[in-house]
Amino acid sequence: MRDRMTSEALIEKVAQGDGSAFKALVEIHQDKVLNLAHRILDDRQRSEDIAQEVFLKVWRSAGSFQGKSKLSTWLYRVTVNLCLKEIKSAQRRKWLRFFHLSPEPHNLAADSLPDESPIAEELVIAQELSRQITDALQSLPENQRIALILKRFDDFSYEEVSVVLGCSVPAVESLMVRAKRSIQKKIKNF
Amino acid sequence: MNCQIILDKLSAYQDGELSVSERGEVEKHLSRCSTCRAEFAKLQQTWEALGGLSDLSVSPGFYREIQQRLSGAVKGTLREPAYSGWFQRLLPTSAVAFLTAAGIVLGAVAGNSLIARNPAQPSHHEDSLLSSLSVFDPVPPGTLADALSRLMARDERRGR
Repeated sequence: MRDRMTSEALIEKVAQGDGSAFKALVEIHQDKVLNLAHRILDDRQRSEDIAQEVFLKVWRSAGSFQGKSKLSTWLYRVTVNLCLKEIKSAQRRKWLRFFHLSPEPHNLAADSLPDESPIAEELVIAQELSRQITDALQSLPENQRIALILKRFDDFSYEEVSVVLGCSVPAVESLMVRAKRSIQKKIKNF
Repeated sequence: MNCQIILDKLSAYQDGELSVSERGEVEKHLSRCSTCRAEFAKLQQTWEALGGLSDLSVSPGFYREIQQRLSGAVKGTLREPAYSGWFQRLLPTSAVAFLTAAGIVLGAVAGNSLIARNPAQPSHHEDSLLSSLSVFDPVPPGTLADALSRLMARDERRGR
């Protein structure tokens, strides 16, 4: 409750052009916004770009926040919308690459030399499990993925998820049921 | 409540979204039904597994980059335009060359299909390209107008 009052009080000051209030707001929410974007997109670089874009929008549109929902709900709605735009844009770029009309993306990981240091077996297993979970999440349709992420990692209520996704509460319940069933089938060895 | 109803409510129960009375019904059923308990245990397992994803933190220069973008010092790097430079890359691409060639072939085939072969043509050896140009005549050969004008010309010759 204290954090919510703090964020709502800060956004009012941001609307008046208060730079230090804006910085405080960014510091409170930056990691959560980044993690939401990253879990939707599974791309660190683009997720960080989107997180920056979210806060740019906060600065420019602070005056339009009316306080009908929590500030975090508003932030997450902006994040989700930007992520969905990015997904569509990535699909277009993929199509253009098919016809050689756009360059291949620069894969930084491919350029680096393989790390030859010994890795503990536990770390390898943890990385493999994390990869399985990420792949399972990425295999979900966007709305199911977003609903599951908001519920599991940000503890949003169905009503809050419905505000972010722009759908009804029963629709959120249905998304959650289907998402959990899909994930259950895909995650093995747990 | 029977098992199917309970199974349909398990996800919402796990998410804490049921009313107090519904929650009580589900818990009462779970205490008696091992099948539904097993299903709920699987849901819990999946939920726990999702917690295996670690959290990220923003890069050290995150806020500085936001400031720079706000001041316009650095252009946004969110994404490159999907079509940037595509026009310049059009010419050498084999895909566009193929599409262009395909378009020419299709156009030639479609154009040929518009040429009406007229069995009354006086010569079967006429150049097909020249004969195809006759479709642009005011009274193209082989049409009803052409037939009518021939009839009228014949009548004139016969002095009608």
